[in-house]
Amino acid sequence: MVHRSSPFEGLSPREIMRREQEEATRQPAWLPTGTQTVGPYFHFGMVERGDVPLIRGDNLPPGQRIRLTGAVLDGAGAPINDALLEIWQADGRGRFHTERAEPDFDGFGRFATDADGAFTIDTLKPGVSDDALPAAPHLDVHLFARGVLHTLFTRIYFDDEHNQHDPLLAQVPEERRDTLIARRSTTSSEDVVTYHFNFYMQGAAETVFLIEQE
Amino acid sequence: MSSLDFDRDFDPRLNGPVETHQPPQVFDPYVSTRLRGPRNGLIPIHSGLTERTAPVYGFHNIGGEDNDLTVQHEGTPLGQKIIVAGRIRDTHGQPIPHALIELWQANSAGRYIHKRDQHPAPLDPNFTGAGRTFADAHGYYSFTTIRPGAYPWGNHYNAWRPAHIHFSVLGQGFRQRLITQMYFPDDPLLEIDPIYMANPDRRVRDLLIARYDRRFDIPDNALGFRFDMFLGPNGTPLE
Repeated sequence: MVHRSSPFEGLSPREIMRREQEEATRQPAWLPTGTQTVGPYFHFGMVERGDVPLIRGDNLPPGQRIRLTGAVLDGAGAPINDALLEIWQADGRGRFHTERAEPDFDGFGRFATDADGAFTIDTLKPGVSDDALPAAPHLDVHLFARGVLHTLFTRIYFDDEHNQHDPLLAQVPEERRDTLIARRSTTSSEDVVTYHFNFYMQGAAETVFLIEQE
Repeated sequence: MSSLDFDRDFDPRLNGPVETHQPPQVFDPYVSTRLRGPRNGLIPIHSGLTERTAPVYGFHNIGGEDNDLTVQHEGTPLGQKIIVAGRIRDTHGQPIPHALIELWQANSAGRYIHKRDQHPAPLDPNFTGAGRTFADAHGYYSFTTIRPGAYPWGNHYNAWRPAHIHFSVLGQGFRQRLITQMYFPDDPLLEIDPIYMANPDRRVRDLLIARYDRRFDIPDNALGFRFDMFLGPNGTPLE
């Protein structure tokens, strides 16, 4: 195995800084790189061996197993069969696994939609996370697809939790909050509780997407 | 659509948050956005702990050859060998250490290995077109690959995508996130490409074009291109 060294290796710190300064005069550093669509061919680059599951083994932190199913639908109600969902969440006790690579569960996953635009996310139900104000259980989601120009971001909440106290959901116009809440399915068993959630890209029930303000 | 008039077709009312320097959600010349781009604006929020945290990305088992797309098979891929290198920083200019960078691209003939790509250009048995690496402690990254070819797509009559490389970058928090495409200098297809042109700000579009940089050449072997990326909270207004 030949590991080629970076073209930056071997430069003195002074030389790197000189070059960066030169760079800064040409390029305003505060301009964020523009987002572009992920396109239709991301699978072999981002989910090479199929989805990146959230549950990858048996060594799991305590928590309720859940299954979240749903679909991504366009403005005509047609399934989007080339979308990618990227998930980040707390574990069942509301803790974020940020310290070390954890092979069986770290709260991160990727799920590509199938031919019917559908996805199935098996995970642990996130706990109430210990923010400045306690946050209701939720999944963070990025949605990427051909024809989607932004890096779309939102949260998914659960309809059997106390969402009325959540500090982020309170910032969403009340009449649209329902678009961010997964519904508990009546077929839930004791072992795995199932929820349903659809992404509607347009229309009366258009899913709310979020952006941070300074 | 036989010709594209981007000034005419760009409707600022469909833009995302004002002054974000990001593309609109719906850009009529790029047909797929018409039914897929959300029509409502993004809801501005003050985010929480979830958005500021991220795991130590371990889902790829990244080895030494994952950032060299020319050595992943028995033989050498066809096409022009290039180095793509640069630095990952935030919008304040601070380097983002250890970002996970993934890229994917067509081969030199303009064909993706993806099963949905029906363009009848040849596949290259010695080229997959996917790579990944971590930036170093100072945000620097480097890939060795093959210059991709342009390819036709179905957006409008005789539509061609300019040669490009797809990039995905995961930074230090879940929202320090970028999905973009890198282009090559002096490509006449750029100005007639609805995806590249979807961004209304020429300065932002210019930054999607890598610069030829002789410092990154491998003499008599590969040409060097520099591509820096700046990750902000998406939508940070220009100061």
